[in-house]
Amino acid sequence: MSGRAKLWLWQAFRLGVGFLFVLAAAGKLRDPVKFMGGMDQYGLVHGSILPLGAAAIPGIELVAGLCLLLGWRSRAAAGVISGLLLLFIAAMGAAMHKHLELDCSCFDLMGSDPSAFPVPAFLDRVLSWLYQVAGGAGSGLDLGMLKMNAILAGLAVALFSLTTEPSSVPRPWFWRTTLAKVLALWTAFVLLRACEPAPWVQHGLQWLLIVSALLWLGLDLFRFGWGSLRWGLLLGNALIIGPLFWLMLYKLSDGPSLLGWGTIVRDVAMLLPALWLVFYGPAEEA
Amino acid sequence: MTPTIQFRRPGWRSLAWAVAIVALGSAIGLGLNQISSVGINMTIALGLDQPATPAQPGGQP
Repeated sequence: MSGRAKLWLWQAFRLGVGFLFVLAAAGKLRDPVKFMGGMDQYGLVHGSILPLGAAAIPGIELVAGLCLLLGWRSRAAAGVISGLLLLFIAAMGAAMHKHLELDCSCFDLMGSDPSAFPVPAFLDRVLSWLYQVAGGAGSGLDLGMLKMNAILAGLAVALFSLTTEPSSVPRPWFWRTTLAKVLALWTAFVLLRACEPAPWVQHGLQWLLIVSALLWLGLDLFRFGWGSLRWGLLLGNALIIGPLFWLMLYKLSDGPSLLGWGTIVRDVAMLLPALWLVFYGPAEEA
Repeated sequence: MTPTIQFRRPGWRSLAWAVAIVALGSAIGLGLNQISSVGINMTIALGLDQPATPAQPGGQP
C-alpha cells in the first residue's frame, strides 16, 4: 500500500471512528440515568463505581471522539477508544454467555423510536408534510427513517462543501451520485418495510444492500483513485453508507441496539481500525 | 514492489496523553452530569444523603 493510500485510509478511519464515538457519547449524555440502568443490567459493576462510570464514560467517549475528528493526539485517543471497545466487547460477551436479553446501551440517540431523531423544527414540518403527501402510515414509509436520512444527507453535503479543496473530482458528479444513493437506499428500505417478506428474503435483501453499498464505494475509489479522493467526498460516502451498516446491524441484532452478535461484530469492526491507528499511524500524528 | 507497513510501538508520551484524555473526559462527563437537569443524582446514587453511622435504637440522644 502506498504512503498516500495509507494516509487516506488513516484519515477515513480516524473520521469514521471519531464520528461514531461522538454520536455514541451524545446519546448517553442525553439520558445518563438510562445509561446507568443499562450498565446495571450487565451485572458487572456495582456500588459507587456504577454512577461514576455512567457519568464518566460518555465524557471520555466525547473527548476521545473529538480528538480523532480534529486529528489532535489521534494515536492516544485511538488507544483510549480501543480500551473502551475491548471493555464493551468483554461485557457484551459475558452477558451473552449468561444468556441475558438486554439493550446493549451503545447508541441511544434515537432510543427505540427512530421518529425521535432530532431535526430542526422547520425541516420537521417539511418532512411531515412530505410524509402525509406520500400517503402517511398507509404508504409503508417510516417518518423516523425519512428524518434520519434527510439529516445525514444534509450533513454529507454540508461537510462536502466545507471541506473540499480544489479537486479533480467534478462536483456535479458528486451531487448526482449522492442523490442517486440516497434515493436508491431509501427505495430499498421502503420496499423492505412495506412488503414484509419472509425472514430469509428480508435477510437476503439486507445483505444485498450491504454488498451494493460496498460495491458503490469500491467503484468510486476505482474510478477516481485514492489520490483524487477528497475529505468531503470520503465523508459523504461514509455518512451515507455508514448509517446503512448501522441499520443493518440493528436488524441483525433483532431490534434497536438489542445485545446480539450484530453489536459485537460492530464493535470489533470499530476496534480493528482503532488499533491500526494506534500502531500504524503516520509519524506526524505521533 | 511488496508494500511494507512499519510497526511503531506507541511511546510513553502517547500513553501519558491517553491518561490525560481519560482524566479530562471523566471530568467533563461528571461535570456535565452535575449541571444537567436529567443527570444522575450523585448524592443519592453514592448514598451521601444517608448518615454515616445510623442511630442505634435506644441509644443516647
